[in-house]
Amino acid sequence: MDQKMLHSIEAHCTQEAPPACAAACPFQMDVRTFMTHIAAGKLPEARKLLERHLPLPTLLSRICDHPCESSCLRRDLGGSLSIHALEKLCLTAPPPRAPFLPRTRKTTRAGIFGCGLAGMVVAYELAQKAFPVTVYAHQPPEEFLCSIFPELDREHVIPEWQKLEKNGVTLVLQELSSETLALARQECDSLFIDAHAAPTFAPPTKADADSITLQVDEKTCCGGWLNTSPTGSCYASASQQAGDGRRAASTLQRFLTHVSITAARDDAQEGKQRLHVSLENILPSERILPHDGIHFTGEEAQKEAARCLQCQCLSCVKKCLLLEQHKGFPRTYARLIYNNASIVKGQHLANSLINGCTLCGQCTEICPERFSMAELCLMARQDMVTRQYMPPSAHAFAMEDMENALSDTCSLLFPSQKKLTHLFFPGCQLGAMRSEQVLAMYTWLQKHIDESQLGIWLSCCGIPAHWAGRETRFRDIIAQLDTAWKAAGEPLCLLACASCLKVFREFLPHIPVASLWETLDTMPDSIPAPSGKGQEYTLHDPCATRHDTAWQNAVRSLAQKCGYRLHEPEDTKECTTCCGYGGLVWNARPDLADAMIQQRADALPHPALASCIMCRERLATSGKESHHLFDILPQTAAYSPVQATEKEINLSARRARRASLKEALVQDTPFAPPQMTSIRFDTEVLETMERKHILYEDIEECILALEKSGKKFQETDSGHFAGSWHSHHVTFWVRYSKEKDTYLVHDAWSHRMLVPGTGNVNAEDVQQSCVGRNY
Amino acid sequence: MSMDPSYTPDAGNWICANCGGKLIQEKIQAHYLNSAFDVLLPRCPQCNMTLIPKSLAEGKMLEVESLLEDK
Ligand code: SF4
Ligand code: SF4
Ligand code: SF4
Ligand SMILES: [Zn+2]
Repeated sequence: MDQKMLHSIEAHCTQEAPPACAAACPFQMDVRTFMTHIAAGKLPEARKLLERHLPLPTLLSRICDHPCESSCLRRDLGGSLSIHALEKLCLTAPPPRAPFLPRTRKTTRAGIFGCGLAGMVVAYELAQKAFPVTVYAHQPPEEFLCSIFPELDREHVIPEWQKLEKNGVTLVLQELSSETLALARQECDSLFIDAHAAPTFAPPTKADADSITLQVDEKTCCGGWLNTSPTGSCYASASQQAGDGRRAASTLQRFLTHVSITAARDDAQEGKQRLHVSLENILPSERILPHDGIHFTGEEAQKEAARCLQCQCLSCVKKCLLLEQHKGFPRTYARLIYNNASIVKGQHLANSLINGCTLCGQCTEICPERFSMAELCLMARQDMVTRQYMPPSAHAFAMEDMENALSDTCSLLFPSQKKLTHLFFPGCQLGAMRSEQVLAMYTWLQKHIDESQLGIWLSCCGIPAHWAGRETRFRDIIAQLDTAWKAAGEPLCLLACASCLKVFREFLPHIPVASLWETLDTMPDSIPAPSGKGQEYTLHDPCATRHDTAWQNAVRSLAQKCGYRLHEPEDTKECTTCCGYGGLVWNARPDLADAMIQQRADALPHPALASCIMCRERLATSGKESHHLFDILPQTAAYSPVQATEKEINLSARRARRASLKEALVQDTPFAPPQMTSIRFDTEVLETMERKHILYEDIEECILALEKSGKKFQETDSGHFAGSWHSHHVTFWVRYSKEKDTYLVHDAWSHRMLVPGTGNVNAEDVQQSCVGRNY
Repeated sequence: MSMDPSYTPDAGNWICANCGGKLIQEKIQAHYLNSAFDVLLPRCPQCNMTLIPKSLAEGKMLEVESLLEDK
């Protein structure tokens, strides 16, 4: 990712765009913070903020015609905030000290021709930047301003003018004639003509000047035109005149310092980006009026300011735990991720953010600008893998699991050596957890898909490698799948996993695919009679089906035909929430993944019905009563290895069951769930192992090695043994005792750090491991 | 990166089951991703065996592992 790309990605998040009020203000007044101060009773802070944003703050806060208020998003929810009245109230607070910093006076001079509000603002702005300014006016500025703005008195204007004079502004009282103009041009390096105070010397309308710079000729700007109302009368809009003043001052300053008058102008960005604010669920709150109709008391002001919605977007952040946890929003995250990639020495602070994204795409769906955290995080992962700074532990276990599903022990395309017309592809996880149901479905499909040659394909689509950012491995897998499919006679693939289906569609687009559910739904004999009795479910759509309406519809239709009553959760279909399996978050950041599924489970009022086995697995682990679609379909319901309230088949058994499923198919025998006979476990140990991704086979390997070598420790009170074994970059520890023919496991733990004298590790191995990073 | 220097067994009276000897706190060098740390751990020097208490593996050690992984 380069700077340019970063900026274009960042631009998709509008969270930093000004709220409606500030966007309507020519000075981008930070109304949100202002309201926070007022609501907290901090008038002096509010005044400080005002002085920072507004030119001639004591004047403008009296006369501004407040376009902010008509844009305020509270407008139709109780009435716009009284921004103007509250600004005026601030003037009762003591002014902040020393608004002008003493600076060495610059040498180039600006001239102001005609001193209306716009002219005086230009003088104010340039004096603040230490430019000497000459103001040519036909009458003292206070007289002109007071005649235009009835809210102003001489005592308001005179002190402001005196401050300007102290800061290098000189007044030349003279008739505004062509001669004076010529003199001004001669004496000054750049010039501002006030279209209100000196109308004959300015072009008739604003449209005659450049809209961003207000430039009219080589070194002259104009501003301060009168507005015309719909009925044709002319009036002075303080906000627009002062706004012109600020704009022109910026151009003049550029003239005076000889820099480009257009480059990097903040005011050129105005109105380009709109902050998106959701007004859903916001209750109206009536405008607080001052007790005497004019002046707010402190208390009234606080109440009024508290009505401010503190407008922001954060729509995606409110829905995604990852986005919330990292305390920023996509725009700041894009920057973090960009910086993360540029770090040479030091901590990669965004690794956990990057690996915490489920790549589910919910944020993109919610975002009015379709910001994609998933794309950003996936790209970052690929970079981390290529440049070898992906944390080794982040995806190691998931990769092993994937390789297991792809191994010869578990994968199968059956029957082989035949030209097939249909191929059932259950997916690596469904085959592992619901082997019995997969077999039952296969058998049923064989009988019911007419005149076809149906086969079954046990494999993995490779999505874990893709999610892990291991693109090379992923492409290998895709190529292998393609070869196998061609060898099978290019059949139509019936997929039961939403992620597989997505991978096939995106990376193997020439392979004809359909979801198993759509296929079943269109078969007239698939559900002969409803089995359910109107029991209720809340649907949970897998995030991979976000844009797969055919899948969503088929699932709903099948469940209804089965006799169930279905409810939609708040976030459903294209806005569904990920279970935490996506993006391998369950591996890289298990705690976050658990929090995600917990939040989801809590948002599903009835028992959940999922059409993805991983969703069902994660829901069940969170303690949610849940079913997979297989559990209610007549073909498979009777073969479920788990109950609605039961957790899913554990990690160790999944691997063994993949092998058993293959065996059952090849040998044409009933599926026999694998048994562990020689080792038993305390119940809590099984949970620890599941959490720490420690498998039976790791424990078994460890105990066998310890029993063979005798290299173990013993705790003399309990008689328990403990020892370790090192395998696939992890050192596993077991605490166990021997009971007759079996071993009873009391505890298990693991670490990745290499320590001489643990497992089969000795000092030389340790030295070797230090050469390069191993995964 | 610093690791507290000494870790004793979590609980109980642990001995080396290989030779029956007592464990002693001994300095050993642990390694991960091109970094090395000296740490005192319960060991049987005779059988060259080191005991890693569970609390260490799931506590400080895990912490240091993830710090190094993010380097
Ligand atoms: S939805 Fe999220 S990404 Fe989109 S603009 Fe709002 S905060 Fe930014
Ligand atoms: S509610 Fe507050 S932040 Fe939103 S537009 Fe109105 S004043 Fe501005
Ligand atoms: S987990 Fe989903 S919603 Fe959250 S950032 Fe990633 S893609 Fe977006
Ligand atoms: Zn010993």
